[in-house]
Amino acid sequence: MIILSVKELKKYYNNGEVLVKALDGVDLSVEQGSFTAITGSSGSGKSTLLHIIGGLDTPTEGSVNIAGRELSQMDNDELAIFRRRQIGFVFQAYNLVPVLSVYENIVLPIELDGNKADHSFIMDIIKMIGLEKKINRMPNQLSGGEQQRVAIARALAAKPSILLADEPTGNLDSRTSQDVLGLLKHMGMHFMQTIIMITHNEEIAQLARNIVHIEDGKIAESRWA
Amino acid sequence: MYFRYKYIILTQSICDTLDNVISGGKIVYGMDLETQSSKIKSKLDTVINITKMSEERAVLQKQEVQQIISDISHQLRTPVSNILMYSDTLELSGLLGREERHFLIIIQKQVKKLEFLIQSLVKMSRLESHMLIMKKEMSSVYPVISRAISSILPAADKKNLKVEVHCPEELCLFLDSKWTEEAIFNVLDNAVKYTPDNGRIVVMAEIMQFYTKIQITDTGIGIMPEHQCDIFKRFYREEKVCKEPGIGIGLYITKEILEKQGGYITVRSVPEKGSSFSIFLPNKNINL
Repeated sequence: MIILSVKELKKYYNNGEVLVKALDGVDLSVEQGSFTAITGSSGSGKSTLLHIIGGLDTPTEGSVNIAGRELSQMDNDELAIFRRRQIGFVFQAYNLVPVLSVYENIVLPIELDGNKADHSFIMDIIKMIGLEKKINRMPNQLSGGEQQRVAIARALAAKPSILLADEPTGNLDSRTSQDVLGLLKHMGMHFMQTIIMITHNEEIAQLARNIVHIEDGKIAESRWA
Repeated sequence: MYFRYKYIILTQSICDTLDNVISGGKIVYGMDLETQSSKIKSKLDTVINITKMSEERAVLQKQEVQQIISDISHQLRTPVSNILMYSDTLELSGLLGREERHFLIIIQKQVKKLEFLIQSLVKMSRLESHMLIMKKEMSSVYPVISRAISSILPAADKKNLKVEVHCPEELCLFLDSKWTEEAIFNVLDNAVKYTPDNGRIVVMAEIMQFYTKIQITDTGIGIMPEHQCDIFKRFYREEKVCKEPGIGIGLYITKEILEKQGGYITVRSVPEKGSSFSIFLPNKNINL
């Protein structure tokens, strides 16, 4: 089943007199439960693409359809709710709330949505990221790798339709990166979670089943395993 | 105020039921009451049953197809080995002239290729179907690596390749030792195949926080950057190696074996300098 379909996506910026074409006609479809990597050099448009898919930015032209819903047809309030319920984000910066514990950080998005968190499910996730002994720690008592694991758990806890990861290991050393990415891949398979990850690192991209290469705002190559 | 209260009760009850369904549970109570929420619940129950049925049917059909493929590939083995056996007999019989011998050798080569293909097909269909369950148990990694290495040593000796192993002897992981050996062997087999004479192959195991990395580095011909992701696809072979024997299945099988055990594989390579494959296996037993 196709969970995400992007059609003829364009994003132009008017930078003074120069027209910058960040995205110039991108088509992409992603299967439910798959792991896709988007690679490209900096300035290739890969982050812009991820931001538009995540509803954080709007396209100049084209459409984004997630789980049957057209993003362009939602107003700002609808979009905010849609993002909260259907899209999980993991960024390079961990963005944990410093005054909340590990557990509180993970359940925060669920409680913000007015729902009770499913305690046993949350504990399953916390065990998978290996932090069951640190659920009451504060973010500043955790290492970078641990903080990013919490961020991944937080993104998965709300059972989103799509998990978007933007250079998730950009701040981590290579060994910690390998650990964190292995977990991300494993959790994606375990929960049948659709993951789209941006990276400039080809070796990291190899973890994904599908690899999309972007150059100058266009898809230069797609490889499907 | 009262209606608002009733309304909240109703929607909350629907939400709870849906949450339960999303987590894979069933609707357990309140389906047979004369209330609005009960009506919704029983309709939802019907929807769940319908989707479950079609899901089961799809799974069943897939299993059938896999079973057929697996049966066919098994059935193909016997005639192929018969052909091989009789052609060997024919070759040794001394009944053939020079030209006939030449044709026979071509036939034998092709049949050997066919045999290899069928073997790979059997392995692949076993991996693809869920008939093959990884029998994971606490195993020492060192013997697994050494068994894989001993299978490539004769070929490595022929090319005068130096093979080094660095692995803590006490290292134990939760894995299927037979399939993991096959996974490591496939990478090593490539390393031997694609490393020129007098080269070096280093196997190094390293424990990280969640995974153990088994790195296999060679001084071989390397892989072009644009093909580094493709080599794990089935039947993919780089153009420059098309003269070497092989059909492009080894790394695909390796990847599948590792993923079935919660691990993964990556490669880093510089053309003409060498390749380094990293196999990652989880330290703790994780269920997929």
